[in-house]
Amino acid sequence: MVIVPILHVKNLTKIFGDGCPLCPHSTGPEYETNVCKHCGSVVACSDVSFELYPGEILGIVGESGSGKSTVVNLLHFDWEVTSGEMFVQNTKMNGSININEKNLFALSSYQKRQIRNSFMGIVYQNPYLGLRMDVSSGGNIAERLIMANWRSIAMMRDRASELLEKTEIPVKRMDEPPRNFSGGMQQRVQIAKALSNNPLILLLDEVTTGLDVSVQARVLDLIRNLQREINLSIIVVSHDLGVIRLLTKRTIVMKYGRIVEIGLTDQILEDPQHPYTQILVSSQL
Amino acid sequence: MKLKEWIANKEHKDNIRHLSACNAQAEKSEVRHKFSGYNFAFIDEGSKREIRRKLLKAIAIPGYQVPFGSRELPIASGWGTGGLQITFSIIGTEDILKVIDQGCDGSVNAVNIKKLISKVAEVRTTIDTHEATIIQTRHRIPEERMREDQILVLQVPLPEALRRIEPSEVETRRMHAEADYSLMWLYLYEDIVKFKEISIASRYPVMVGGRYIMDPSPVPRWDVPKLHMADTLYLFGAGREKRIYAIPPYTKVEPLEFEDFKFRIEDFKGESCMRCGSKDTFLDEIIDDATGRRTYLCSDTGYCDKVLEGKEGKYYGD
Repeated sequence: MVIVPILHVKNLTKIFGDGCPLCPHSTGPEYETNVCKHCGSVVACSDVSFELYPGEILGIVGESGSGKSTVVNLLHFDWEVTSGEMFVQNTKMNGSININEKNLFALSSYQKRQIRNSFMGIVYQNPYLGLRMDVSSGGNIAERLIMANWRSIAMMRDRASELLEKTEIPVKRMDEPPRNFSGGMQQRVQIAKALSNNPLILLLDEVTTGLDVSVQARVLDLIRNLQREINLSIIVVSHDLGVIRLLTKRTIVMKYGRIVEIGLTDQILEDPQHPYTQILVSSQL
Repeated sequence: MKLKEWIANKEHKDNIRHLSACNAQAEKSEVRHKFSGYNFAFIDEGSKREIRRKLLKAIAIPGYQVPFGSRELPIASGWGTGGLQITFSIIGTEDILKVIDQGCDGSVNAVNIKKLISKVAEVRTTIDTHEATIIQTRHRIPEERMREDQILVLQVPLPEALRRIEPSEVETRRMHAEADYSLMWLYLYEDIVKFKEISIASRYPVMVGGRYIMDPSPVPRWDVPKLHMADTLYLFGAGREKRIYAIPPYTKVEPLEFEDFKFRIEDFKGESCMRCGSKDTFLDEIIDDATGRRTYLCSDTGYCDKVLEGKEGKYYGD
């Protein structure tokens, strides 16, 4: 039986600046830069193509500035793509639009928001990006439910306490703003918020960076358990090979905005092919 | 004929027609006017025409805020200039005008605005809701049910219902365009979590025609249900903020509410007006400084008078 990918990304490109026809041919790992010498534009990512399968955890590694966070932001429609296509398969959306076989980047911003609300969740490295710090934690979760047209306070509060329990936040602190919480707790509220609309695809952008080791382990455990429980497809962005090894089956290695290697995580870590991956793996402490 | 020529020709004709209309109006008003130096109904014909076009657009898109070029008036902006410009643009000599401020015909602002309009537009005034053809109001909708042939003009200080939650105009316009109202609902959720009920007393946000969230101007919650499927045309003008919007007759206007936290109007707990005895009107509370005793009066003074004289009009809700 052939497994159909849930998400199909083709030739994703993001250029900051005016861009010129020479941009793709004067940046990348061969040139060791992502600044185009002809026009000065920054090629944040170029020609990135991959598939994500149902229930799979896909890793994206690379050094700082390699374009891994750019990819996640583009998938979540936070930024406009310069060019590229994204397709989802076998996905039903509540509402009127049929999105199968359609390039999601070409839809209107209203439709993009609906897609994001109905089957995507994102957790940012910085909780300030993903949470409203002045609004209660329960309210943060309710916001996503409101977007999905929930209009009962009692039902929203039930769902919020269920999620907070799952992410190990004491339910009695539900009406406190995340501002009052520690970094690890804020990250877990973010995860609860991202899960509230039962997403099919979860995007994790450096979720454990900046947390201390024991909290890191708890957050990673949580993600693994949740994935097993609700069969999520997850894209994990990290510069930490430990996180990648622990969570993912398949990994993409990026450098200067390009994919330099893609394959099974074990293979990439044990037998890296690309010179950059070899350096990356050997410099792991 | 080529399209371009046709348009040019039509515009030319329109201009001639418009100019002659203006001239005719100007001649007429010169004869009629006791004062010279301004046009009939104070604003020049071109500006009134622009405001009428914006009104038509507002009526065509219920609840949508149409920007307009707010004109200078002999009163300061923020004192009812939005409502005044709408009234000036739609009024004719055969109209009968009523002006109220917080329901009262006799307050200083209402009296001054009424004097100004009646002088420059030469219209008769009244305090009877039933008799008026145009009612300009601040912060209230009359108690008596208004008819199809009447227009209510509301003065609006802050036209943007989303301003409570979003300071950026660019962002609120995007939110309206995409019907992205989750933040407004979140605000109400937080309110309920904090206070166990929605604490918005006036300017209660409403959903118009299932599409736009709109600010009903600072009317009390008591008046919000009167906007729903009304017989009357409601026009809203914000002079300082340069916005016009409208609710045409028989439009769905729903206050934002949750399934388990419904919108509710003010409860006067059985108190009645000490003057006319009404128990089914919006009451002003008056506290005696010396004794601390609380008494109540109808906020709609015209209606209160009518009840006293024993010739009350038709209520809402019966």
